[in-house]
Amino acid sequence: MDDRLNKIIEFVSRIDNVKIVKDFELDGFIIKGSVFVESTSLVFHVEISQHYPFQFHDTECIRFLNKDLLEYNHVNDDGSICIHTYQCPDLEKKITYDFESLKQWIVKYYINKEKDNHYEHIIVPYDVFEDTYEYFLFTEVDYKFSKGQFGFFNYSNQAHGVIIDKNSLVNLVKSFEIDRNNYPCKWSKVYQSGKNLRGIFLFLKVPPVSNKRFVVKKWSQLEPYVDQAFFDFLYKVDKGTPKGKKSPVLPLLVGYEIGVDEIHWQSILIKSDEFPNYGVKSTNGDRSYIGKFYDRDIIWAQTKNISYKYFFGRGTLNKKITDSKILIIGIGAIGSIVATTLVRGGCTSLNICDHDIKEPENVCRSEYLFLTGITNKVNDLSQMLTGISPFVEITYSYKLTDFSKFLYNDPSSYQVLEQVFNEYDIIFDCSTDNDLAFIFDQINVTANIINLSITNHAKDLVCITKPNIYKWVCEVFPLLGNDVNDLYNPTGCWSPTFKASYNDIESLVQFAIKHINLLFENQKPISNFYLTTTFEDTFKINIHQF
Amino acid sequence: MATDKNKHLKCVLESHKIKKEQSLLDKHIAKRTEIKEALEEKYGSNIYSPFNSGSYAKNTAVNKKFDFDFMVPFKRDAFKTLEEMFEDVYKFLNEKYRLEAQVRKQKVSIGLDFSPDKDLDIVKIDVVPGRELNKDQYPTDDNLNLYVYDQFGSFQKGSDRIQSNIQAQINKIKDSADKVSLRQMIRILKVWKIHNSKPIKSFFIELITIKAFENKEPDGDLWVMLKLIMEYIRDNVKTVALPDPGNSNNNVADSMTSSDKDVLSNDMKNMIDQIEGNSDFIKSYFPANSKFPCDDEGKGSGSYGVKKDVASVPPPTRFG
Repeated sequence: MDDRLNKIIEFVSRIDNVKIVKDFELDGFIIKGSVFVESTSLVFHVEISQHYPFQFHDTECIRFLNKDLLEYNHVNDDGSICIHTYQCPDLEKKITYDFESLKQWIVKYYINKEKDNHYEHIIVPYDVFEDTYEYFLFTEVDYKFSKGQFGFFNYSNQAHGVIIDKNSLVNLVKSFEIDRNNYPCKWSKVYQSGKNLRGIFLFLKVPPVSNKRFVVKKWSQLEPYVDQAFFDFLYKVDKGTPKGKKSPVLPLLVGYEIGVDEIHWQSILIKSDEFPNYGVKSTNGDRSYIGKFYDRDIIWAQTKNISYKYFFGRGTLNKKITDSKILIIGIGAIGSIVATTLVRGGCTSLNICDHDIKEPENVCRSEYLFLTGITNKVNDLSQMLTGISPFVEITYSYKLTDFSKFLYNDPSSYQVLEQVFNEYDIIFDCSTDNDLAFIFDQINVTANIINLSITNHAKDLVCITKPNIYKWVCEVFPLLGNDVNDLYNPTGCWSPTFKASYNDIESLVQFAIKHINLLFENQKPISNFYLTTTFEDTFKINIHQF
Repeated sequence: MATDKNKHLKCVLESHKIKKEQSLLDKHIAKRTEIKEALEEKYGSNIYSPFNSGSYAKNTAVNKKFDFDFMVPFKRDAFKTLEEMFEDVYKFLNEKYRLEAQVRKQKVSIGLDFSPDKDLDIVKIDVVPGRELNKDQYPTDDNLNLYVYDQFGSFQKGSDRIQSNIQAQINKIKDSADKVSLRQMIRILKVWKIHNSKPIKSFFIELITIKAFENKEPDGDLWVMLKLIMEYIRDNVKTVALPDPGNSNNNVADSMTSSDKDVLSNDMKNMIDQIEGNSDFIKSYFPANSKFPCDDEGKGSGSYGVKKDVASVPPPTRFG
């Protein structure tokens, strides 16, 4: 251990413009000391933990601290500097890199006082309340809040979980009650529904901070941000609710602007039996009271803005797809993979259609869960898709295919059929239903129809679009050497099926969706193609365009 | 079994011959004559004699999605503006035919889609109004100005005019198409365009095929020739100039966007690759008209032996 300490001292001593002003010593498992950075007169307390030079949970194991620098950018509440450095397993090099990063921070944020282009959230020390991390998820609402506005909001418990050895409770902010109107947040209908709990909100316009970026910790520090009207409101909320009807905790959302047309909320938990406000008699001589806050700690819960742009901020499919009304016919292996990919890719309007029932045997190569038992595929998948995205509206139908065939035999009903399908911008036909492919060729459907199917063993995937879908399907498949003899025949099963694993199918479907997405992105028409697979030393998926 | 590409293309041409649809052709001629007489009665001395201007006039027609283009040349003083001319002809045709046809304004023409008759035949006639450039000049130079109702290539919606000599356009194609092989190539490519709903103007196909022949006159059987034309389009469509025979200031190549040209070039590449890889694909790209199956292909091979417009092979087993 001494050897490691001595090495660290030696390596730090070699760094230009850095002088050790307090010797490095071992304190438990942490090596501590102080350095002076010449030409800036800044002194940093340095802490190097046992894991160093490795990272621990994606954070650096060396910390440079100076509490006098709190007002500067990228400084944490405890005065530690956020440095951007490099991974390196070599102790000497790592120390060099980290001190260089500290110097870069000094030049950029201390000397030049640079501001980042992207918004940096204020620093909030989230508290564990009754052994639970509480979260409030919010999204956009069609309402422009004004400074000092307050009222009630509705929320619901969305999920309970565990974070290491603590509980977690996630709440969804569902609507704001303003002037007797209810302004719903832009979640899908499923997330709008259900039982509501009530909290209160206060819009401050500016964040309640000290040292520019650190949220206030005491209620009394909030006073300068709050009008008397809010104190009156808080008083009425406290006294107006009978004791037996009070929830143990009343959440308060505190809102402020973080840019043009964008607001952020922080959440405070108010214990129902410990409201933070009190009144003192006015000195005006009248009988009024002035609201005050106690000098008591604020319990900050966590909030997350998961509006569409943040929820899907890390990547979506092309906007032409995500903005489309989409119909998926057939939600077996291919259709369910297409559906989940579209929803994870940011699509918000899907109708799924299948008459079939999900059996346990379907689970191994589709998106379904064993957990949900034997049930209609459309019910099961719609629940799953809604579980993925709070922004997708899912509708479903058991009988669309049957309905289409029924109407097809009455040409006077073609218009009805066309109307049904023309409600959509894109139709993924994953049904492998040749009758339906034929019908699509006969009626005037304006949507992009993308017919996807595979050969046995998922050796090939065929994607056919309008026109002449049926004809192309009939002509392409026989040319692909589709082996229909080696099928899976479970004992007692009268309906053999193809052989292929989830991996076999998914790799082809994702390749196809990638290609289709790129066609949309590059404004190319969706044209017929098929994928073939080969394995000669390496696995290859080959695309052939018609 | 591999498909004999040359034999199949012969079948494609044979099954798409216009004379196979003589009855439908006669109905078009009769309706065109009726429209001609109606327009002459309505506009009297304000118009010159209307004439056929489409593929039928140019000998490049095929019998699938068959229609007539009908040019109506107006005198200079007939209307103050081209828009007025276009709107007046539309109003007249709409009033006269709205109960028996769908009458709609198109890019430079007024389309009349007549309701199916007792044989379920549909007559389609596009009436193209045009006005001579200067008073009494048309009989000597054949030049006309057209009104651009909707975006037409590089011509903006509402543009005043496209100056064109329709007669020269017809003559250019018709004279070139006197070469049997060139006419065959144009018709085969039109079959591809129609069956695969490709949004390319027939006039573009005609001119680029002529250009390909001018570049190097293909020699050999139908497939060899077709492949050469497709290779020419693949390699040149993005750069080739296609002067309008009716007005050399118009480049017909401009009627397609750069992106459209990329797609067409890719289409040609993919077709060549696929057909060379598997000759059976030629039937998918260039199907015979199943309404008129060829004897040798229709029987025995099982490919075109159906009377209805459906594929004859048993539906494949697909999985999903």
